[in-house]
Amino acid sequence: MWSIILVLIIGIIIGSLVNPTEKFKKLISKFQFLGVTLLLFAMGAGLGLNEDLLNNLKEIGWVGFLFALLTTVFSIICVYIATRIFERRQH
Amino acid sequence: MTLSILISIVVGIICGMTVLPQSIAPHMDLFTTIALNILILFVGIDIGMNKHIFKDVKKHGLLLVIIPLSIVIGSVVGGLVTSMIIDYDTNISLAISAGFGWYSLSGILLTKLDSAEIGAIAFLTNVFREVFAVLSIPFIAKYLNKYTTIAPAGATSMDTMLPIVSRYTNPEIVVISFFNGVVLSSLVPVLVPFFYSLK
Repeated sequence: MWSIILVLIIGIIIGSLVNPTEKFKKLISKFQFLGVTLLLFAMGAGLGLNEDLLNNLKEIGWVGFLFALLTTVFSIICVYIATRIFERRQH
Repeated sequence: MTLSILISIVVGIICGMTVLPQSIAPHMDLFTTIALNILILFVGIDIGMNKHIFKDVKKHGLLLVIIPLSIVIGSVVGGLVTSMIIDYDTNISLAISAGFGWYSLSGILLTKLDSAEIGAIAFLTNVFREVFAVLSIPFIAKYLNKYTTIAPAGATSMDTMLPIVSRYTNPEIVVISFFNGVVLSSLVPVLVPFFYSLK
């Protein structure tokens, strides 16, 4: 967690020092796309390589699936309603 | 872009199950950490280039409370509904739901508090939550609103999901997303044992 905060701050400092030309912004965006693709591949590979996880998946996978699905859906609903109310109040 | 997200993760899973040797499994974590830190650096540069960003966030300061609170409430409700469907103890269900996507920690906490099985369920739940976040963020950004992209990410909105949120929203949302992740990550080690202790 601390390394992420540190790296983020370094990035913010670099970003505030550079002259943000359109060309530079596009380059950053391309790097981000490449990075996201790599990160997701690595996350997927980590899951595929985890034999314990894959073995557990057959027995308790559906329980985890259901918990994840409902907590995600209700979080989305709550945040959407709350931010809509917030936006309306702002106007 | 949405398709490329799905392809990256699916190809990763298939490679992990088939061609990649088991010997690289311990190094995957390091690889992910390096990739993530490089990405976060670019996210930081993106934020830094927007001079008014912190003023914008300050104007919407209340969101820094509203969004994490809504995610906690949503996760608790989701956990309660799940406990009714599968007939699990309420305290265990709430503790599993309070992982907010941070699978490593919630898995370890519940293994210690309860059993290896509940720990494994907590781990799986939060792995699935992260996968659902990856898949839903593009659609939420398009059809709901940009703030709501933070909702499925939960505690991971400050690290693994931050680049995804960044990809589909704007630097203001990214700053809120980061703070949301800090708040929820701090709540995981507090709320998991707390919910578990409610009998």
